[in-house]
Amino acid sequence: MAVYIVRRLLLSIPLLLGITIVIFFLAHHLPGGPLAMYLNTASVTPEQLQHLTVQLGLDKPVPVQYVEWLEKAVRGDFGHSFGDGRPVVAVIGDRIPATLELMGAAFTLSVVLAFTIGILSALRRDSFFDYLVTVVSYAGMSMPIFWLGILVIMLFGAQLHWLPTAGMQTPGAPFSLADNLRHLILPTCVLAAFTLAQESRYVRASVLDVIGQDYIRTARAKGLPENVVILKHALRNALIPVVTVLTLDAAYLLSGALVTETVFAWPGMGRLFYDSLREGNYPVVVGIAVLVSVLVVLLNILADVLYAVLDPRIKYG
Amino acid sequence: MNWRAYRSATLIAVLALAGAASGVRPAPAAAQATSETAVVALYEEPTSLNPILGPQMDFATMVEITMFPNLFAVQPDGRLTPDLASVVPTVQNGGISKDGLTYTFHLRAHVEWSDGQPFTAQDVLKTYQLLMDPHVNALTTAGFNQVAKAEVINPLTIRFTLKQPYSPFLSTCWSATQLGIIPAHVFDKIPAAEVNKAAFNYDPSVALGPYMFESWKHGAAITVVANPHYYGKKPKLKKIVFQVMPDQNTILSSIQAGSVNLYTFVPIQQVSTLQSNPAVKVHFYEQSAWEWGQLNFKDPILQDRRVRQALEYGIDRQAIVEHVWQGKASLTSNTQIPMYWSYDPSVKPYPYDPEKAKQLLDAAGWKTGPGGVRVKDGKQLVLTYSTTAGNPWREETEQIIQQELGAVGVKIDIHNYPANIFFGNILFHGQFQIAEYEGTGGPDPDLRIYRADSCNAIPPKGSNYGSWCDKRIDPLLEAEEATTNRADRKAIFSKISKIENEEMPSLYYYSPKGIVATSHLDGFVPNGYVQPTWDVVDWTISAK
Repeated sequence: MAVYIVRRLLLSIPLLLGITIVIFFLAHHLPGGPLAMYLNTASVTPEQLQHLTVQLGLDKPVPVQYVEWLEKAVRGDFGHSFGDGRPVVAVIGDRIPATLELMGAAFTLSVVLAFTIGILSALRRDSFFDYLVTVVSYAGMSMPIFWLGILVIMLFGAQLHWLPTAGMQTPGAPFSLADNLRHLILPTCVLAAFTLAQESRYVRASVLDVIGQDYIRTARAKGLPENVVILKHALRNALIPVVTVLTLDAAYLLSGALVTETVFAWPGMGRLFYDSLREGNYPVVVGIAVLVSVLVVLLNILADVLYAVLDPRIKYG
Repeated sequence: MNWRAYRSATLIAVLALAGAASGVRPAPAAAQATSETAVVALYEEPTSLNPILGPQMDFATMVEITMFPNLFAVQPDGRLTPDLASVVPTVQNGGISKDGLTYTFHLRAHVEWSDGQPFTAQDVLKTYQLLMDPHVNALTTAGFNQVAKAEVINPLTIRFTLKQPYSPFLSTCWSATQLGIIPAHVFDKIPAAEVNKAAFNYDPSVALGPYMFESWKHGAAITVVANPHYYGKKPKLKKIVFQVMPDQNTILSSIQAGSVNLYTFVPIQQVSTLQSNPAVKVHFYEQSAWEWGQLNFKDPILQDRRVRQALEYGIDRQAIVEHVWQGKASLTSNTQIPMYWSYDPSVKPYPYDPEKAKQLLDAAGWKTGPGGVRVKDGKQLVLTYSTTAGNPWREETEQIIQQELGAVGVKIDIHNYPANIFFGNILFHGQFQIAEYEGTGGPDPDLRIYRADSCNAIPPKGSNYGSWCDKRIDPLLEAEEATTNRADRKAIFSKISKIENEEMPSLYYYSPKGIVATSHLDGFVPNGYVQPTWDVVDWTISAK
């Protein structure tokens, strides 16, 4: 197993290299570019434009720019933002705590509720509870996040005044955990609603699949208590396909949920990526894309390791 | 633990969460803005807080104007009043030489930066020098490039000598509309090549205005606090938080909830919701902006004046003002809008006259063809119409225009682009036939006309994106720049207005009113020439 993990990690290096090349070239061929925003300024002279081009290193051919970028990146220097010149690592680092907080909360809530609902629906298949949950799940999956988000803000924020409408904390007030958590409630629920709906369907389907198996019937026949049957025997086998969905969701959440962050004015990485894309701020765009790629590759390796843990029939040589 | 307990525990946890959420009420002191703090919603986040660096961003200027004043403030009626300067120079008081070439600025005494350092003429000189330095990404050099010599006479006096008379010098270069004065004692230590990336740009260490920088939580908020060293009226609010809120629906809910005090650039569609809320006040004011459809002179179809005039006659602009803008806009007939002193009411907007449009098109050789689309020399009269994507009221007006022009035989194809591509590629490289956007200008009419119409402002030199070059315009601009006599200048602007109105280089639509919403904010006065934060010293928060 250890050998397997090391081998996978080593194999991911050329994979990541290939990914960075694609990302870098795609980013640099975006229409607009970082100089577009200066071009609307009436009196930018051609000399100043040329100067900016050289300053930002954009006059060199893209492969040369890539090699220069790579040399610095392997040493942890991802360059400087075209916007204010701060190091990209600092720019992204600013947003990571906000992203982790929101994603962590949303992922946890989503997983806990998905399993509860999924298992209960599977066990009570075709009951009223099952039908109710099915309808709500499909409704949750179909609702656009921005619509749901604006709706809850209007209801709980503007009309009922129960919860804050936007941001991570009350503007101007000193930091307080309670204040922060109150601001976390609405965006977490909205974000979790989306992934929860999907995940609970997968859990339900997977558990249903497993419950019909012979070994479950044997376990019950042996007189094992129901909770042992479900939690120890059924769930462990049902988890395998679900783990795939969960790791994909984790990757999706880690890249930042742009729409939720926009609606709730949450300063996360999703919005940073979108803003940088819009402004043609290549170093930040490439930095985030590389970070997310690394996370996705690592999460995939984790998923494969989990399969082996969950199912002893799977062995990696 | 057993299955039943797990299930019950989860159920209890979910119910508890719901209960907690519903039971929590905002504590008046902590949860909303305190009575010492105002919250301003920023729809876009600035890239820098340096008042002399580009690109030009309204939201950056909104924050900078609280920290970096200029020599002159602009009042809501367009008058310049002394701010960092002690008097407005005129020919009468000798501040401007009779030949219009020399400007002497007397600066206010006993003014200090927030670190105690005195404000002197060196700060003004440094501001000018950095703006003209090729290494610096200057927000604008218009007007500054007319300076032949700048000299400091004494710590409170600075003199600029121009290459030729340029009467807009004061308002274009030294008023609070977009630029501010930067500290020489900070920037003397920074080489010009490093100014664009200086730490001061995102962490301004000193300020001259009523507020100074406290913190910038990127992506979330910029906070400024009252500056005890400010020379003027003491600000009543201790803190102003500029909160980044990229969704206008969220800002709408927040201002209704009272967690935002100032909402700028309110889309017209949200006005009725805001007006129905008793806690919110909606302000309408004349602003220095006009909406127009730029026509590309590189296109042979649009080089024919009859076609351009036909397009203007074929669009019912009055109906758009009434139905899309609910009457909160005024029709324009050229680049001078009713609020300007240079406005000539005798130059009237074209009426909506589809019959006249059809006649003009017929005269231009465009005959009605199959499907109702006009044809000439085997070519159909099809024009692409572009504007910034995602703008709710532009999407509405585009469709109206498409329909109305279709009725006179012009087929309109709509292609919209995200803002940075629209301004950076489409407009700048002339990749359009009709492009709609908003033109803006400061207190002096000269800059507006220059940017829009001058043969010297054709890209890449400027923003005359339509590449219109009428040989009559530039000599007229030079003539009005050469005199400070307002009556003389007004007569010249009238001539320019008539030329614009006749030649129709752009489709002149309307000047929309500025719309701002406030919640529990007193002392706010709208000003069409500067950002809404121009009078922060007078702001107070009223109780809920």
